[in-house]
Amino acid sequence: MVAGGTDLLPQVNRYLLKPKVLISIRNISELNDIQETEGGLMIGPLVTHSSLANSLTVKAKAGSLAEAAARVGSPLIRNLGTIGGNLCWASPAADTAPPLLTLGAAVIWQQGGRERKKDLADFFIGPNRTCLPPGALITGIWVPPLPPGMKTIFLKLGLRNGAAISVVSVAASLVLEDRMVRRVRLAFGSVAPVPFLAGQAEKFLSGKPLEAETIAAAADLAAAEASPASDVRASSWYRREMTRVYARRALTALSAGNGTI
Amino acid sequence: MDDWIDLSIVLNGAPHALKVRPNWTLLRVLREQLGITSVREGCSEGQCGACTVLLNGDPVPSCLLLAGTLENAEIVTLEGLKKGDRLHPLQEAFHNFGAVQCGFCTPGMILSAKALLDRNPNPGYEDIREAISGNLCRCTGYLKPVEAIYQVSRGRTSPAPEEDP
Repeated sequence: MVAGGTDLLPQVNRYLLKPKVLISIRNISELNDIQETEGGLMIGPLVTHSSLANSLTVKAKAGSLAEAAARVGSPLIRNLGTIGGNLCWASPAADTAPPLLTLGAAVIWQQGGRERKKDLADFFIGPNRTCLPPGALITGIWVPPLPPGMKTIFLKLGLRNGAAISVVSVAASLVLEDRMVRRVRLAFGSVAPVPFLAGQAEKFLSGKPLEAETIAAAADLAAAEASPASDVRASSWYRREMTRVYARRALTALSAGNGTI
Repeated sequence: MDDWIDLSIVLNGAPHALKVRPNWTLLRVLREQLGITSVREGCSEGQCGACTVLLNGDPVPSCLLLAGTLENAEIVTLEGLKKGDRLHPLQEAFHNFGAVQCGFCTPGMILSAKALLDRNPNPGYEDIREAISGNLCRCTGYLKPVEAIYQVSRGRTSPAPEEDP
């Protein structure tokens, strides 16, 4: 199945993949809208990165997701690539994954007339592998309503500013109460086989004041939770160090009241 | 892949009825069936922007589009910008500001610029750099295209006389 084709067509054009049958779903308009309900946001899988980045609803209800979508590839790629494709292709560097993980998103799909729903945290099982069974079609990405006072952020390090694949990406969401961490989620892309939530760092921060020392300790935990590979973009060592740096930057920005929403 | 797909598209304002193979990209159809040579095959993976077209107004890489999925789409290429014998202001400005070196990336850059100006008639330099960030120039001549696009947005297609050497 092919939607935007931004991941698939390069493989087809270079004869790395030779699909016998391709089913294009790009013109199914019912799968290409963003609905805001009391139960949260329902994002159609065919919504493009450009639409996500420009949507006032997404900016207001899932700010870090809009920021991440605005940093995917180049404007040309963002006009074609879809959120469903970004998740299905399951690149460790998928930029929409870390914000969706921190927002508690779930993926909804249909297969053989039955609907299934799975937390995004359980969706990825390896590089370019998801738990989607053959023949399944994603019908929505659900983002729950955010608790009052939540701030979110997305940061990305590429080898340049435009049209870059992430070396490390980080998303965080935070609710502070009387300067104490009431709720925090911290997710990374491109520094492990799959985008992941840094559970140890989150647990450590819970109930603590968000100050320089706690942030530094949480960043160390997050770096230890990463299991980065070396590739043409960066070494494993560099990725782990940048995990630490970007964790610190994201949490510091949120502690200062920056970040969206 | 032995089947033919009937395809109707509107290219540069004119309707076309075509027959295409399921695995043909829009880039291939434009160049080989329709003789549109302003779209260039650079990387075939959406990185370089040399094959940029406007699809329903948005700039996209035509190497990543399967032509058979584009029924009733409106496609604009560089050939569609001029009015009669008059070049589009962006084309004039690229010429007059010296924003062309080898020219391979120029059509894509101009189309990305047109989409930007259609959406935002008064862009800043940063908006312009962002808008053409998917159009790579291997001559690395970015300053003059950015300046040409900026000047067009301010109503100028050639340098002021006192700037002439």
